[in-house]
Amino acid sequence: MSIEDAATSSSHGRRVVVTGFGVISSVGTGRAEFLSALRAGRCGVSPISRLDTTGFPHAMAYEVHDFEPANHLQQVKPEDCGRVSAQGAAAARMAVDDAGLDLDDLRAERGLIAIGTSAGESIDVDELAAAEIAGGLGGLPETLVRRIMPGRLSVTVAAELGLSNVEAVTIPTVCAAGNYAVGYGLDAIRLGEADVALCGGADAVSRVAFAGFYRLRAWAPEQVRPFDKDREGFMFGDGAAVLVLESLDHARRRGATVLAEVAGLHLNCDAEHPTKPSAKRIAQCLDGALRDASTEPANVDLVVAHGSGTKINDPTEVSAIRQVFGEEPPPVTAVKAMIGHTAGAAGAHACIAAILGILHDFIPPTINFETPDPDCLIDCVPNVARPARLNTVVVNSLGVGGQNASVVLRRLEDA
Amino acid sequence: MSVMSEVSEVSVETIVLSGMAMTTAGGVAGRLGPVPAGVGVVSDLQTRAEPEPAGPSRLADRPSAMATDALDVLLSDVLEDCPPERRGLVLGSGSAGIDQSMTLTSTSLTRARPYNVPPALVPACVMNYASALCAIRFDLQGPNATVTAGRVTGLAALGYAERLLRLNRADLVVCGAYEDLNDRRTALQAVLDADGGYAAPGEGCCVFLAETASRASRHGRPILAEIVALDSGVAACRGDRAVVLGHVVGRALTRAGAAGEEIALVSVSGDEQRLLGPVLPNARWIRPADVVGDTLGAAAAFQVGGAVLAERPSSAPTLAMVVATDPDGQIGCAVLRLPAR
Repeated sequence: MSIEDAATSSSHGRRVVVTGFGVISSVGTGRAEFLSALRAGRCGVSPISRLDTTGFPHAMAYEVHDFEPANHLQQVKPEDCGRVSAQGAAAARMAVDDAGLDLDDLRAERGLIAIGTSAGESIDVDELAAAEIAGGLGGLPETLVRRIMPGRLSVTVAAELGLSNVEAVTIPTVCAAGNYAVGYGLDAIRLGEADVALCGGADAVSRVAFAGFYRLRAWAPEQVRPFDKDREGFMFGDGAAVLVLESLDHARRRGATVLAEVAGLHLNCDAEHPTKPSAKRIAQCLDGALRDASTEPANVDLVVAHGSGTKINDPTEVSAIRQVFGEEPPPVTAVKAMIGHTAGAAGAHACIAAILGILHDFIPPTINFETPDPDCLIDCVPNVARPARLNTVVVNSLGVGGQNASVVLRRLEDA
Repeated sequence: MSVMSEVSEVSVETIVLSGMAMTTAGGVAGRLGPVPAGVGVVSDLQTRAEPEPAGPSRLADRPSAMATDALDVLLSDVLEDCPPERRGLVLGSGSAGIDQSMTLTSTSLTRARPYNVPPALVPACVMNYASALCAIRFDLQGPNATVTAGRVTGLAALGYAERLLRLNRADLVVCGAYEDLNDRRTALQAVLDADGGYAAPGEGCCVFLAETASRASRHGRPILAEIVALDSGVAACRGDRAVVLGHVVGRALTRAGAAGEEIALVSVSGDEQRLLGPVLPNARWIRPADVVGDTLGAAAAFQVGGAVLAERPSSAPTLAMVVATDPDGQIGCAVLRLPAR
């Protein structure tokens, strides 16, 4: 094996790096806005404007108010895709630009698109349900029907970027889907089955999610407050996040700026209960990701937690973190307080927050934090961003249903 | 001992399908088949619903019951030799969750209190619900992924399983797809497939056991098919379909190191024979959807199952191809080596 081979591959395949990303969130769209919001600890919550919320005693969410598909999409006509696909395709286009990828080069190579989601085109599903009430199943508007299948989220990215020699999958592993999608690209590149992968997720605030989680008493009334003693649940957030993953070789060959290495991944499933998470299994997932990255807990500078802010999630996750990292775990932050639960995109948003922290030497804070919870004994970096040199960050995510996914991101020293 | 020694290595071993099960309107079948013929609704599903306002956790709706019933057959005698954390699951569907979501939204829109929706329905509105219930029922603690890619979903699940095995993320991966038939899906497909050349809508679940060839042989399981090559593409507009399909099939043949003339059996989802006939001149063509109906997200899984069970021109090892296309643009192709019979 040559020296160069050793540097760019390992016993588990080729090394994989992130060279760009696109982000849409309630606190900002694009790299600069998102970075400044993370640093400032901005909160994107506002009264729900998309739905008629009459009859709901409380109705807040993390909506994106200024997303206009036509301002982002160059190939796909906005009426041909739902809002969620449009967000995904817009984030993918931003990501490709951010990575400085030449689209003609991209089209000439084998590619991969993996977009995670929870509820797919949920806003269109809501519209179809309303149309069914009004006129029965015979009267469903064709425009909506044509864009309804969740598989279209990844196809719309391909259409927007003009990619045809591409593997395009949608990964509906709900709240862990963003990390699952990143992991999907990681594994394909490790194996040499793709050189470049566009991975992330997209979701939106919809009636089906709002009414459903409201009914389960999981939808917070005012704001999302992870790890706070008085936390009252999560709220969905609109958004999309897409990362450009490349083999290190490929990134170097084209002279790309490497933002971070995707160093490790582990996926597992509680296999116990569809809605109650298991600390033991979460700990096994975190541990597995560290082993996959050939590192150990002592080397981890930050955990970006799933941190959904529900009564049950946060202490369970903290317990898992303490099982892995011991009595003095590294700082743990939860970005959902700023951007809401972006569901199928949440893992990808968290990865981007971690990468910005690595690049700019800071920890994005857990905002809306007031009262410590004795059941959540961690340093959650409350309210104010903290300067820190981050070399290794673990991004954790849990899906309703018990699917867990942990990703290890690492500063690439020799980039 | 260094940390590195614990790190899994990339496997270049042959990945095979060593088990299979399907549920259709015609009944249930294991690896010996035959495909249970029947288009329409699967009966006798072990569905279970708790009356409102019981807890949110234990609704077994039709799609997830279809999946768990198929896994019941598939896993009857294979789990003992595999620790729970090494059992992976990749399950797909085309539209699961849409019907449930529309019910939930309708309920919210029509009840006096708009949040008074059935709690048990909430987790069933998302597509990973069946994956979660299957994991719980069979103690599958390994990677648990849900994929969707229209009628190509079954091949996407196969490809995902292959990668999990190659990167040693699991010892066994249960992979496949399911789709249930309901009035809303029928209405949606009447619009979507008006010009698609697909069979009448059906439902069912078709799942496989994927593992390395050496592991299958160690445990005395027969090899039903070896995954030789997988490829896929996207035809963003219908006009590109023939060209992209040709490229996908061409790349799959190249990956397989095979010529089109060597393919003896082709299993299609719709009207692909019209486009590919000249490229694969010696093949026998089958369309499992004619037997079980067009099962949308489960279509490609049934195409693989159909290829495994199909009559073949000779008893020698056979190269088979599975080709699936969807009006949404997904195109997928698998080359399988079927062992001597």
